[in-house]
Amino acid sequence: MPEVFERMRGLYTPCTDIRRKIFVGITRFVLERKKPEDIEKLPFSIIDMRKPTYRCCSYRELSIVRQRIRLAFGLPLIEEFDNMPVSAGIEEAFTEKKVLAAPIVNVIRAACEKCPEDQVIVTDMCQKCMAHPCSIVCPVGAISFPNGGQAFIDQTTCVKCMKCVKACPYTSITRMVRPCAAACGVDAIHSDEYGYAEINQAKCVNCGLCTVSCPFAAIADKTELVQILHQLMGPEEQRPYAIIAPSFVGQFGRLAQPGAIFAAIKMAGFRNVEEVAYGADCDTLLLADKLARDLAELRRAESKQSGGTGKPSARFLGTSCCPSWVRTARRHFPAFAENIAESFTPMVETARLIKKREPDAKVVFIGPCIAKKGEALEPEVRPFVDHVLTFEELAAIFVAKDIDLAAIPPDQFPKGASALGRGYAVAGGVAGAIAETAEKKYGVRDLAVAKADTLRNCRAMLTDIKNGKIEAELVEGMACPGGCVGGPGTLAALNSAKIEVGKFASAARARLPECPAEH
Amino acid sequence: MHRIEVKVCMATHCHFAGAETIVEMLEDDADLAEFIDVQCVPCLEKTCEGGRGSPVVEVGGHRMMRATPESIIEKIEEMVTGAITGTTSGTASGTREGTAGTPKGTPRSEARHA
Repeated sequence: MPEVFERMRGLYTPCTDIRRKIFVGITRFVLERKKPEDIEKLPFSIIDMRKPTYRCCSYRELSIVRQRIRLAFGLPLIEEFDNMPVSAGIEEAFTEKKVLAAPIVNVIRAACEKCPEDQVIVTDMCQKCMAHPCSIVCPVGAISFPNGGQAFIDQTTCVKCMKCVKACPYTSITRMVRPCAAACGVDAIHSDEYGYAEINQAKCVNCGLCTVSCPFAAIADKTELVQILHQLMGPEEQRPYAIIAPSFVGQFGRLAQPGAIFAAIKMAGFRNVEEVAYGADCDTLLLADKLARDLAELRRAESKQSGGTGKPSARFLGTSCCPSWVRTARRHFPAFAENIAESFTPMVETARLIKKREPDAKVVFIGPCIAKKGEALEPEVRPFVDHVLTFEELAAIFVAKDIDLAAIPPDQFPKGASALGRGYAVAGGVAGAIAETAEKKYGVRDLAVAKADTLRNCRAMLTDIKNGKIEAELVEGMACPGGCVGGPGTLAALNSAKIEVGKFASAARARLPECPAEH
Repeated sequence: MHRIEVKVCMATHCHFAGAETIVEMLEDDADLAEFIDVQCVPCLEKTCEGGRGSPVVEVGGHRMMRATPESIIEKIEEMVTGAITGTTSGTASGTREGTAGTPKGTPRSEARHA
């Protein structure tokens, strides 16, 4: 059974539809230089008040769309029960300056269906059978048969041991976990006193998987679309540079070649585009070098005290490119905090090369990632990366500007990143790149590599390392299923995206990384 | 039998409106494989009118706006049924009742109950 965040992925659902319509609507609104006071008209171009399209009634849709607009403008939510118009203060977002502030991921209560958090329930498939193994295996006597009918589970008694689920011959008993909470790998989602989903922002690591897992589209991230659009509409010298994550290939339709994507980004108004895979190359070299040095020391020390505990060492080098993984690892396993590489991420490395050339230039990271929006708010990253845009938000700009990626002449790539750098987009690619570089460049052999994708699996992996169950010298963690290609800001289905990334990597100029930047 | 050409527009507007889902659904549908050829094509003469009609799909020369996997499959079934009843009537034997809205002897009911 696929994980909850994988079930709807790659499908165009009404949740995708409303999200994209709002992005396109806002982009057109800004491009047409409409005034902030016209914002109240915008929802009516997205929904039809005469008949509901998505929800039970148009008024609920109106309320949801208004709040989604606020988030897309990068502003904090105002909800009706705040006793203020939802559009209050929206004019502050009509700027080229940074507006975005934490929290990045927000529950829109008007949209939340208040799903039960976690229940084991009997479905209509129950045949009221003679054997009724469900009630026999139940250790707490929670199952009864009211009026001799179908089985009924008393929720106050049930301990969710799943024994009845496994015992039912008709598979009629099922466990229903609220999709947002099931998608959350750091257990940050619970219910508030009214039953609405609530995000514990102290726990949330901005992975964004809840935003694409809620079947009512009740969770959304803030965007920087409006501020970036203001920059794109500004004078030539103020326009930003785009740096694009390795997972970009294959995201804009089967007919959009990588070169056409680059050309389209420039047509959208960006001054130039650079591959973040290039920064990934710098990172690979940095980490391979660190790994080789640390490892030599560590292995020497271990061979000296032979006959010791026999337990594998918990000293390892952890990758640092996924901000959700880094935050999770540091927060849940403070003892390992120093194991996560202190190096900058591929995003920062790439941005740094641009800022070195042109200190006043603005840099926009375009990727599959919501967590990068949070990373770019951190004081050590902020000087390098000005804004973050997802692939989906970028595609909305292409649509609003009528840029046809299937028809424009593709750009040439001025300088290609390595195959290993381009492979960062897929789970295993980061550790693979570091391990291969460490071997070819420093002769590191028999490297113990551990890797995991999704935060739940990452936490399980770190627990195993902590308990000495697995040996690891290099550890890769990825918050999204399948790595960055499974990010919440992607457009393509996971498998086709993986294939495209692989093809693009094999077309690279070289396999091993090179980095011109001195460290 | 003559295979039906299904052209799915993959230009920016249609792609953003879910064309990729349509292609994947059609390609993954083993029941349909023997009846259709799926192609991703560039913009179909701006039929979408700036995205309002996206996604645009052409099924056997018949252009459809705001296409969904459901509406396309329905169209394909209609064409296949037309071809069957028009040329080789009676080949649709041995089928059980199709699901609601699905004519008998169509790719779906045939392959599923054969």
